[in-house]
Amino acid sequence: MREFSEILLASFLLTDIILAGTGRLRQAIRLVALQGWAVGLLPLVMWNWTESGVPGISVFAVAAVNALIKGCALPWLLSYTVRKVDARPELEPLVGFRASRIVVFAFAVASFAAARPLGASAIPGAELAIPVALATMGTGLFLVCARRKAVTQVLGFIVFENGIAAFGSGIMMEIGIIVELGILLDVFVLVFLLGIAIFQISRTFSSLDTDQLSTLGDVHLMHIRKSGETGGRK
Amino acid sequence: MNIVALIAALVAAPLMPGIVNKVKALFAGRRGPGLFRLYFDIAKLMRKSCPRSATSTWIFDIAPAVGLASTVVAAAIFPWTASGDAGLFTTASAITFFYLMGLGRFFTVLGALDTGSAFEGMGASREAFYSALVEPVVFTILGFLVLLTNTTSLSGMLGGYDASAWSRHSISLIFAATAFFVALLSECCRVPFDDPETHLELTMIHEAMVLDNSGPDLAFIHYAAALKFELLAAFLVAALLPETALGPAARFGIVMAGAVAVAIAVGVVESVIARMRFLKTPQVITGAFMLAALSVILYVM
Amino acid sequence: MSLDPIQTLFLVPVAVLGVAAFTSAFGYFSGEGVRTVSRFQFRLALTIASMAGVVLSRGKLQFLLAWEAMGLASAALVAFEAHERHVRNATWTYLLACHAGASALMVAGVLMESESTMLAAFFAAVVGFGLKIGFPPFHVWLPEAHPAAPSPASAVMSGAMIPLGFYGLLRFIPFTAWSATDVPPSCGWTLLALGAVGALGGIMFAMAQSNLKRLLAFSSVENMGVISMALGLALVSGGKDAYAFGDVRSLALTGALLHILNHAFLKGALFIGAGAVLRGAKTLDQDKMGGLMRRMPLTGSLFTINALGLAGLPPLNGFLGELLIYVGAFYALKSGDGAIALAGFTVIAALSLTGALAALAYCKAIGAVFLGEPRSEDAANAAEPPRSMFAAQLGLTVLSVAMVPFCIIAAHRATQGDADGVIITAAAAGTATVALTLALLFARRFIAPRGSSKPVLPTWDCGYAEPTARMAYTATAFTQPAADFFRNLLRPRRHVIAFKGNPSAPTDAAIAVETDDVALTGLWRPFFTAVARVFQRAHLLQGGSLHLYILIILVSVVALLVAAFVK
Repeated sequence: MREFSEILLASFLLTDIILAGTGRLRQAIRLVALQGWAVGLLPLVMWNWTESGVPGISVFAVAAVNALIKGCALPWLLSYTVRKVDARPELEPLVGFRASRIVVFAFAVASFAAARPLGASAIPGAELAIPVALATMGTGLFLVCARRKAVTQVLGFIVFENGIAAFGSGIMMEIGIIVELGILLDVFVLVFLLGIAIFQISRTFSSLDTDQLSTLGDVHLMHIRKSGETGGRK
Repeated sequence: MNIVALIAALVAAPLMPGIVNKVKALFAGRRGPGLFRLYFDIAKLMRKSCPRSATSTWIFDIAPAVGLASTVVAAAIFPWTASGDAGLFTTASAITFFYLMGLGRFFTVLGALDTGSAFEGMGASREAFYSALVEPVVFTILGFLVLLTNTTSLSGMLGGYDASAWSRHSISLIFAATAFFVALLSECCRVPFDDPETHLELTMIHEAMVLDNSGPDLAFIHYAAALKFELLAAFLVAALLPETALGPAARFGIVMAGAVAVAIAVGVVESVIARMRFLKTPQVITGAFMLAALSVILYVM
Repeated sequence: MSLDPIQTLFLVPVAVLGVAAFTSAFGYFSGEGVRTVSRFQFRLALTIASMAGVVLSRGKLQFLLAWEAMGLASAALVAFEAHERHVRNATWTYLLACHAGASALMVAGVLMESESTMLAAFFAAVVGFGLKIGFPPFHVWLPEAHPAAPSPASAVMSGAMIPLGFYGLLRFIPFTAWSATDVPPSCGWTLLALGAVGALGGIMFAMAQSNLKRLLAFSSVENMGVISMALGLALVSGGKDAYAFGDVRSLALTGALLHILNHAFLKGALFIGAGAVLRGAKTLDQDKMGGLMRRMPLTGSLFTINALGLAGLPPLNGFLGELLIYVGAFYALKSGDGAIALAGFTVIAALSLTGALAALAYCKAIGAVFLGEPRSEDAANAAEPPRSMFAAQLGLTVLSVAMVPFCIIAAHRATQGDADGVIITAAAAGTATVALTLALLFARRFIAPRGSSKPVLPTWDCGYAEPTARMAYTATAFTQPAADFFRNLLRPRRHVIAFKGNPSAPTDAAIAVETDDVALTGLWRPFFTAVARVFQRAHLLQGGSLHLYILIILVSVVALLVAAFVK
């Protein structure tokens, strides 16, 4: 099964790099969905079938839940939201696409360099999983920072969680499942809330630009300051 | 043995564009031109005269011949039948192989600039730019092959590993092969980098460079382009083919069959995707470079 | 007095380019009187003598003296046309670089006395010699001084003088250390990194220049970078087990030394060719030239051949030198040692991009200067320069071609026959290409239908009835996609004159792009401005008031007394 797990983990890297360079919202959602399916398949592929026999039902459950939530439910929710709020189909980057790709590539190289000192090679099957997981987490966080739209930030968050899931499947096959399910639930709730939030924001402000949200606070502060000044004059 | 294979490859070269066009025609639901179209075209062009521009100089005159000669010599130092370390195919041939193509391109670009035409200048500019970006991709892949096979001779690099490497380094091999395929598309001016079918000068690259060529010169250029395509396709196949117990004839057969498969793949790619915007294509090549670099990193890890 | 091989190797370009520059000076200054020619040749002779002095000197002090003399004499060469403002500015930049380099070398000379400060001495030497070689970011004087100096002087400086920095480095690292294991790897990595940045940066800026001699100057930065990369690779592999990695080291070292010779002949010929172009077309701006191949066929043909060599393409010598470096890097990859493999990989990646961009840069130079239609009145009236310039170029080109067999012999002797197959394959492939080209050209004459002469027509250009030179691609336009791709590094400045008024009857529009040296505008200019500001403040101390001076004396005496008591 080693080759399959390698192919799957490599597809994580590929989707990371393509995701960093894509400018289309729908394509980005599709890529994240693809990665979701890969996350779902990962525990099954990483399982040592020849030695450990057929895995317990919990492994299958995690795989199914992961694939269904990250591969189907969340992407559907996101594209539904995008369609409903009529978001513009382009991502608005704070960091250019080419630069983003170089950053993500650098993440990948750095995590490969860091994996060996971390002791990744000590765990069988994890020497590839851990650097890939680190790179994916880095990509997710980077996307949260470097894209302007709220939807993209949700996408970045999912990618980040995919990295955690890959990390979990890589090193803690047995005990990790519970933890992994917990994190998954967290993210699911979070994304759900964010989806609703995006919906509400766009209904109120007819825009998904989080930069404009930050001016909300300023307006609020200005208001307080103004009232303070007037208060002082009184 | 290799010399027979070389002659067979030289004869078969004009088939390659024929295959690509046939696949594209099938996708479009047309019958399309025949597989042997390019042979007839070359024969026809050979009987025509070469009018030349009053602006041009000796560079325009020799450019097509240099382009063809360098490609043929590159074909001659390519190990069509051999795998593993073998006499002529040293480290130098791996580097010379791609530098000879660079020589051909250098003169093609100069020949285009020699006419003083705006369109040909545009094509020349883009060709030179794309090839500059592709070069590191190709050499990174060569470096990967050296690591994989632990030899530095060209014939050793191309398939100097046993089949078990495929299970141990499948990802690296797939990444490197994908990157090389992208490099091939760019070097041979295929979609998404260039559309050889287009009839709008502004969007052409390779075809725009040779607008002023005709007669035997144009035949040289067409043949050299077809041979270059075949060479790069054969390179890709030979690099993916592990050392086998098969004889040289069988290996040559597999390499050529693989080249045909690459031509079919190019035809499929051209049928399903459109030419990209000029500003977007460099991103594809940098992506290919990242793939090639990742293949090395994954191999080393 | 006997010469060792390294001295011979560095004396050859000095002598050859000295003769070439001397000869071409007759042509370059023809029509300006004998006095001008002899004044130039006097300064040239001084420079060449001091360069020979650098190579021949035995002691440290002798070396430093000769080094300083070389800097001063060549500064006099740069300043030859000092009535022009930009020449004076360039001379100042150059003098500053020379003196900064010499002072760094003095520091290095003091530090190298002790074993414990050897590494510090090495870095001081890298700065000192790097200011001559043109390591980034110390290369700033090259693109200023080369266009300012007369072409024969540029040829000598670029081909023979700059590489003397490598002579210094080779002498500095004790020559036995190449085979010993006592050179710390950081030395090799320093040279490798500086070389990689210099090669890539140099060729990117070269590509974006519109002044022909600035392009050639940046290309020198690139070639020195290539040599430095190879030396770095040799040092990195030399720092390990000398026996196991001997082939990497000898290949990289041979490649570097051969590239010094190749670059000397090729670049010398190109600079003299640029001088011929300047005389012919009265400009160095590539956007104002074009069509010179038909007006100056001899210069144009030699320029093309030499540019082909310097772009590192077969079949010429430039390719063979780079090939040995490549092969060394490939051997490094399979050495099984992580650090050496990484060094080899860096060299391969940097060298491949450099090579391809060099081809682009020289395509642009040849295309914009010699091909197409002339873009200015002067270019249209250009004519071949006097024969002496042509003779100098021809001699250097013949030497370049003769370098091809010499490279084979040198590689054979340096690697004890290991690299024979490698280099002979490459040289044979190149020769075969030339032969096959000739055969094809010959065959084409017979294939063409009998009785029909070759029709000569205007360029078709897709049916435009009146193609003019203004429609053709300019030098700037040719490199625009690449320059745009690397814009974050190059930071080109655009001057746009946009359309005005009625869109149906537009006025003239124009665009010009300038690419400044980022190291100059981004690093040195702010640095020296800041230094100047600090010294402006120090002016207060020299206010002209006697009371202030007495106060200063008082304060310093008190300070000294206090210092003495504290001790």
